[in-house]
Amino acid sequence: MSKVIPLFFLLIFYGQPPTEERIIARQGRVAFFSYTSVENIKAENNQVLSIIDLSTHDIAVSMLMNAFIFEKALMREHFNESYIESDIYPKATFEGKILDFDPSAEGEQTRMVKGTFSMHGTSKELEIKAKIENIQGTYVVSGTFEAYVKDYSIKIPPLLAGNIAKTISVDFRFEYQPYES
Amino acid sequence: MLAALVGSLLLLGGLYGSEDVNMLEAEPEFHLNAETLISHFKRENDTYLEPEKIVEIEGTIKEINSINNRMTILLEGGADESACVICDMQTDQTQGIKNFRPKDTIRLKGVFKGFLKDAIFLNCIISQRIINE
Repeated sequence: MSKVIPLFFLLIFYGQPPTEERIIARQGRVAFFSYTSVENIKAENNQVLSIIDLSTHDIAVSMLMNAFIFEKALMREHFNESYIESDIYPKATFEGKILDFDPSAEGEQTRMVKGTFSMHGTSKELEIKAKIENIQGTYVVSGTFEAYVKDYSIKIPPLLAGNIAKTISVDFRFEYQPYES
Repeated sequence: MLAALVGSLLLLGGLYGSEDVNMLEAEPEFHLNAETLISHFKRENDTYLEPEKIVEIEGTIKEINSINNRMTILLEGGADESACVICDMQTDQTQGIKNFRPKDTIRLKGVFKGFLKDAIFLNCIISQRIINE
């Protein structure tokens, strides 16, 4: 975790190469779903930041954990205060690389994105399948992956264990624009 | 253990239905200008504004969009400044937003969530407070 955060900020704020090789999504969407027989919980965050360096194929993502919108206010309270502890761990980040990515290819390509996802003070190596659309230089990256609650040191009281799935389904969609420094 | 029991009872009792704060009635703790807010965060003054504070924020509209099917107003963060204030509007604000265009000045009220490359506010409404009140 301690190595991931400085690298991330280097890429976001001070990084090379020049801005014309980077693209940015300020209003990326990340949604998660927890399905159990007791209750279904879903939430979405529509202000997720992501930057891609088209020359190195590096990708960085950062999101505020308290910016997830839930159907019900008490779900949000439990998520932020009891599970994610967003006052202590306000952000989740992903830092990685798009493998075999050809930015010059028009249309759709499916690629693996490999990197480190950090949340709740815990980091996990992930490989995620992503669809990348390039329509006249406008890139959209989207996909789905599964996250295991136990991987991120999230403690769920035994009495509530039935309400929250062990595996959370995560959807993401980022629409990029040229980076303005 | 007691907390877990209480939590379970709340869940099973269907009390998950509590509502968000009524922004129309909520009294803002701070009245800020978008450019001032961004300049503080660019100077890495992270403690300038704590998350979850209700803030009235005034600024020049940079963009109005509906990305992710969410009505969003972006306020300019200053001249030659790419960072901005992102305000995710409440769904009941759609009609009022129609009266505004980029470059207009607007005053919004919302819940500050934090700063990434931009300052992020949720539950935003168009502030009804009269200027110089």
